[in-house]
Amino acid sequence: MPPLARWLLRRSAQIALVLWGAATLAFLGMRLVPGDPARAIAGGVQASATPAVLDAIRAQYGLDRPLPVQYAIFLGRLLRGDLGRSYQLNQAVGSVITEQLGATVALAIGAMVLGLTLATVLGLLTAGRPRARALARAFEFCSISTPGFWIGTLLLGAFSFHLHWFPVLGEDGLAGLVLPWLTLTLSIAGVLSQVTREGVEHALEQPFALTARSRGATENRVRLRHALRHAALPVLTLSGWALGELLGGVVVVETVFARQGIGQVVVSAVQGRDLPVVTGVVLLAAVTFALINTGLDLLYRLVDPRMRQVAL
Amino acid sequence: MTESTRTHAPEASHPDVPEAAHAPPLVEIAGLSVDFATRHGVVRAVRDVDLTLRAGQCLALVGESGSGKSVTARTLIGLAGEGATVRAGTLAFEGRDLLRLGGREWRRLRGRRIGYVLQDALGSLDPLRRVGDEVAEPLEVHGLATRDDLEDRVIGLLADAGIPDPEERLLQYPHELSGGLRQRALIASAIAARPSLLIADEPTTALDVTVQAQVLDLLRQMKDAGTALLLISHDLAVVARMADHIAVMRAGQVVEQGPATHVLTQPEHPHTAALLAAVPSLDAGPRTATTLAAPVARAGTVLAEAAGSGTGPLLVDPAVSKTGPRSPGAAAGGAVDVVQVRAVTKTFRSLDGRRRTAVDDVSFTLAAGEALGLVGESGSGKSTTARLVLAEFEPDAGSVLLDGEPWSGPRERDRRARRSRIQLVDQDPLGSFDPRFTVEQVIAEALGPGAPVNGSEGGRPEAPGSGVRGGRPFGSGAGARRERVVELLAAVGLDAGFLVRGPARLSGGQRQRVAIARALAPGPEVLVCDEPVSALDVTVQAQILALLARLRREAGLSLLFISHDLGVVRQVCDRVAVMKDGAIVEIGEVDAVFRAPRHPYTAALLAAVPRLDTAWHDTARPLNGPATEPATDRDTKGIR
Amino acid sequence: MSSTETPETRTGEKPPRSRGRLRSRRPAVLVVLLVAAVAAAIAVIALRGGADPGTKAAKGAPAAGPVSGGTLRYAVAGTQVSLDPAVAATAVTGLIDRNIFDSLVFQTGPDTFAPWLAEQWTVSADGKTYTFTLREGVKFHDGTPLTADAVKASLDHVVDPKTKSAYAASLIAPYKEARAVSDLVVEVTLSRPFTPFLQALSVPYLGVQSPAALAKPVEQYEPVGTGPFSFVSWEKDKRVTLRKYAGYASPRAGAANQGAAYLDGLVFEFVSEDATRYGALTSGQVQAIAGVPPVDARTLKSLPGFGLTATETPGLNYNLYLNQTRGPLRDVRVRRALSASVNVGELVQNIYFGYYKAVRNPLSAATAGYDASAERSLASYDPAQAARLLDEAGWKLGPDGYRVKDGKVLSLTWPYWAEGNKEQRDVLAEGIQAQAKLTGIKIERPAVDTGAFVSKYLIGGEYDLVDVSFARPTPDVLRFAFASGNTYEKAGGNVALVNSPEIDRWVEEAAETSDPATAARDYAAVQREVLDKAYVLPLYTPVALTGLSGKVKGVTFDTQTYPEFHDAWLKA
Repeated sequence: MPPLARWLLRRSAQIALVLWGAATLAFLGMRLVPGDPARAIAGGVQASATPAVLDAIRAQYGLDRPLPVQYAIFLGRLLRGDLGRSYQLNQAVGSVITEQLGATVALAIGAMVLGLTLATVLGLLTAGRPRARALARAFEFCSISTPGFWIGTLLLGAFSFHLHWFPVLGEDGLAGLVLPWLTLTLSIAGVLSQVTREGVEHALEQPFALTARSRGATENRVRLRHALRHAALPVLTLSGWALGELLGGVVVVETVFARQGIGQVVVSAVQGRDLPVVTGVVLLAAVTFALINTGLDLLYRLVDPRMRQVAL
Repeated sequence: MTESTRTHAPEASHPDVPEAAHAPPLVEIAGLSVDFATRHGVVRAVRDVDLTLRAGQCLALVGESGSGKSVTARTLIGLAGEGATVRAGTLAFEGRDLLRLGGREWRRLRGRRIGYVLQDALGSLDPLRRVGDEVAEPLEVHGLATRDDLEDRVIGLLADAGIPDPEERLLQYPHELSGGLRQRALIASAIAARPSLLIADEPTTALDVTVQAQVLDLLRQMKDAGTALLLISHDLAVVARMADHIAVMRAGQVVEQGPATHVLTQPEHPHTAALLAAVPSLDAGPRTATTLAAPVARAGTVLAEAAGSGTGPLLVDPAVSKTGPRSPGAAAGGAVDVVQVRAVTKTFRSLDGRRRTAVDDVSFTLAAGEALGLVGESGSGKSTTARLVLAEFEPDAGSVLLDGEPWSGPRERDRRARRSRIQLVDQDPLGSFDPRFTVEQVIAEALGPGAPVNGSEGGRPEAPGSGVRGGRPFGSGAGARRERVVELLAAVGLDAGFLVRGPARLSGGQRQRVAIARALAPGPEVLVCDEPVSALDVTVQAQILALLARLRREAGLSLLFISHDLGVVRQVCDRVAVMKDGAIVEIGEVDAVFRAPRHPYTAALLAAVPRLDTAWHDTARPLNGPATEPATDRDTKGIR
Repeated sequence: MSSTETPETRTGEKPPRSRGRLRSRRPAVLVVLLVAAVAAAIAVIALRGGADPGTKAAKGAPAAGPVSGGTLRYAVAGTQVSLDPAVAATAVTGLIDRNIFDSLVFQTGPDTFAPWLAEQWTVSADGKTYTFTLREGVKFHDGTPLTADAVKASLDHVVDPKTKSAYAASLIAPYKEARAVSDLVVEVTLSRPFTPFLQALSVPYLGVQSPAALAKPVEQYEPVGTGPFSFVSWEKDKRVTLRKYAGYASPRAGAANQGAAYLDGLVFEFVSEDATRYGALTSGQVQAIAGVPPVDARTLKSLPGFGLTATETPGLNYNLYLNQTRGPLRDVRVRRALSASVNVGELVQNIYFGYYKAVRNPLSAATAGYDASAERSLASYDPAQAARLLDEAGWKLGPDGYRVKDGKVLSLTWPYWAEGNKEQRDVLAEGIQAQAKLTGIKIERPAVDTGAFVSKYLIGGEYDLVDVSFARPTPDVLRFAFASGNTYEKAGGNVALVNSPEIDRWVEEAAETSDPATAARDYAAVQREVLDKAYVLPLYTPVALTGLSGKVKGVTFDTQTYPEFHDAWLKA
């Protein structure tokens, strides 16, 4: 078996294990926190469900059975790819998620691309240039230390409410995405640009940079052709972190900008203790992270030929 | 800082050479000073340097690390470094005043008129770019090749540099090439635009001796073809083969310069003499580095590579010190064999799944108090053998015995109690120091928890009277620990002022001393030294070798000494084993082996070593021509 | 080591050499990134032209009088879990469904009702049977005619346990059955007399649904009523879009507009962030918002082109309930002391800038049966009196400023359920805590999650204080909040755990009697009693603060504070 196939097979097994763990944690998490899931299904705290209704719900969802039995049923369903039906929405979890996934993916990917672009440009322009670096540092400090919620509110106030540049509500096109993108981007761009700059600076100190200069290469050439690829390695490593940051930020951004998406689904599912939806989202997140990490590992080898030597 | 003006050259210098006088100087430097603005103020790295280089000639700049030779050379391409201020009476290349050049003019000069080859080709070639891209860069930058003929040009350059199969090398990455091929590729890139001057900064430092010879030959060919060569090296032996002129630098100044033969045979400046004396020679026996002996290094000296060797307070029993390194008993096997290696074989799985034999049926013994050298080129299995002796991994076949008891084989748990008996001194100890630790912590950690280890565990008879081994009764507690650390530092020639130093604030030699002190801390019988001096300047190298010899003599240590440098082995060891392709091809008394090698490989190795006392124009080289060494040494990556 | 690799393996598969291999490496990643960024920027700029916020209101209409056309965007807080009014309990559901569903009757005053889908109705002498005669010619949005059977199907759907009604079913708990007497006459039988029945029928949660829509599987549920707007789409957590129902034929009696709605479309945008919602209104991206934050209310009022409507919510005020079954609060003197310790008026004024009014009665003044004189029974702010009461009850001031009795500190637990927090109620609670401390009462506010809040506190009863408001325009809420059988566990709101036979008798009698005077007397007695016994400390009446663009005309609010868009129109 070729090493790559073997590696992928092993990776898949790991991913399956992670998924099982994630599903189990989600199940336990939602079951072990105090409170009666039946009541949550019945509509939450404000609801005034009668005991009869609650009993009916328990019977319908199998909540009256012992926990291990519930767990077995739960796992059996998962194995068949059946995520179950949302308690709250009366809809298959799969369709709840797929309905909302597009919006979130557009948000996260756009922000990732913007963030990487911003970080690359900033990193390349300011590396090894003390004055520019000081400015960039100030920006990065703000970006890192300002909560996304606050950035979003400020952007919204300035560009949507005051300047009327980007409508937020009632706008489903690209224009409505700009401010959410920016908000998310700012939450990761600070760290990414810091890392890019350090990567570029580190690369510029390496002998090969001196060699390149000694060949008569211009500063731009040294930075673009040589240093940038080196800086890409730590940035790649950080992409996993950035993705996590983005997924966290999505919840905030979707709230502030009143967008639909997975973030909103999660919030209402957790509040409403909608176990099937929570499980579905947890599994989705686990799969996403696993796939992205696998992709990153492969990408790493693409960027750094030395990695291709390392056993998979 | 005062404005530099042209000053007189030092008295020892020989300003010009008669036979080249008719040609106009290609490089003319007079009164060159380079200052660096650092956090601690302005540091003058180069002061009042005068140099002249004519076309087709080779000028060698020789000196220890930090002597200013690289900075001097880099002023010629305007890359002296960040924060550098360059002043000179004259700084001219091909008659142009370099001090007046702007950025664009500098770039037109670099790579096109002046080629620059750095040491360490692995770091000097961009590891993420293909070799072909790197070699092509000067052609692209200077617009010297059209898109269509670029590739042919690069292939031609690689071939000219003696690289076999250039069409494939083109698309390979630097790490896929061996050190020698990388250096050749780097040279190919530096001469791509046919510059009239080639600056080679330590071009062979990291290379095996046979490869070194090939690379020097390549440079020599360039020179013969009319390219002027500015060769920078700390190694006088390398320089001896190439240079028409030699300038010796120390602390930013040229202390002596003149025709090579003159400088090498009749050094006028004591520093030149010291450098010459420190070169390990194949012919001389072990020497004491007395010429370079310095007092115990004081912690206050930061910049200087000040490290003493012989005056540490070793609490030596006179009886022990009489046991010379060459005790006939040790070599003859009359003494106890501390380490016995019996027919060990170790294979590794390589990337494509095939098994590769790194160590093949190797057997040897190491007697108490003996020093055994393991020599061979990169990838010959030296380091793997060392790791097997250290029981860092288990052999696939054969066994290792320590003090007559099985050393390979038992579980690590059972081995742990005896671990202190065998210690490692590595090539680069910095990587093994916790950067947050002080020197005291580094050493104290090796003492083990609680009371200081005093080397008496396992019922082993105590080494007689050795302060290093710790025969004295110690009280427990921090005070005693510190006392012990101070003692260990003293044993390696460092004073107590180093206790609070961080590893980053140590020089290379000091670092290696701390590493040795750390290895001594648990009171070992055997030190495994894996290329312990190959990263050091020649004078510092001599000090460390002297220290090791003294420790062996005074503490009765056994040394397993791994090196690619035959001269070093000659100087330190009683016996030597020559390794090739995982097997020992020859083993015997150092003198015998070096005088009359029986295996052709040993003979080839010896022949490739540059010698000071060989006439520099001697061109008879057994390993001449295109590289024949293995094209890749990636196989060794996983092991070292 | 190194030589084990044979030269053949390296050179064996010699690839055919192609030209230009060295030129293929460009910093491709950077180029792609830059191109993407530029493309995005261009696209955004291009789109900006077409993205004119606001609506396309009808053009060329005369300045005066309602004009047809346009879409009104209304931003509301909160999200939506179901659009079935019989299922969901959230306020947003009622808000949206009010426009889709008509009710049988329309509440016009605290206890007066007007015909709507029911042209007329009669109540049997025993108060158990209600007979409704339906309006003729009304059709649901899907074309199904409104019949007695439709009403019956709607009501049966509500009480069906499978519906898992969170709220609607509890409103008509005595419902027994409905029977179609004729095509347009439906007879509803209750298990006991129940005067709040008509009021219950008037809320949107009991709107009449199309039987054809109800017959569909749950997954395919779409709200289909007879209301002025029909359902178009629901983008989860984003918006619900409604469209004018051109065939609208059932405006309630007395409505200004007796035809179809003026608006072409009505869109509810879900915007949970207060600041975003407010900004969306002031920047013209929506024309109306619910839940204007009190801090912004004054600013909005002063903004030209915008208006603010404040509607007091009927039902139970935002009250603090004192668990009279536990610890020190078993002593009525301690309860009254707590009540006298807190200067509610000052706190509410300081926090809500006068937009919410401090109250002295658990019942909102906008509710039928409200008795203004009941406030005389309230233990008003009087720290000296509070101290006296506590001294009397044996709670003496301890060294750290808290009162102590038998070695125990006078400490009360008031769980803080963050998810349920709104309207800065946490700030108000801090004020109450601080003022209670002045008289030596310690109030602890453990933060709890939903599960613990329900199981440990609301059901487990491990609390001394709990705060809640409950909007519903009927004095019957007093039964919900104070009848001994209506504990939270039994789907009620008696969180003070009042167990008073007198109160039980009063609320039962009031709910069953057909004599308004008796009911009024009973409800007044309850109000006096709960204040006298200090089961409850009234705080403020929640106010629905609705922000409206000046362009929006004709929006009215019904007695339950739901805005009605049937009459609404947009000025050009």
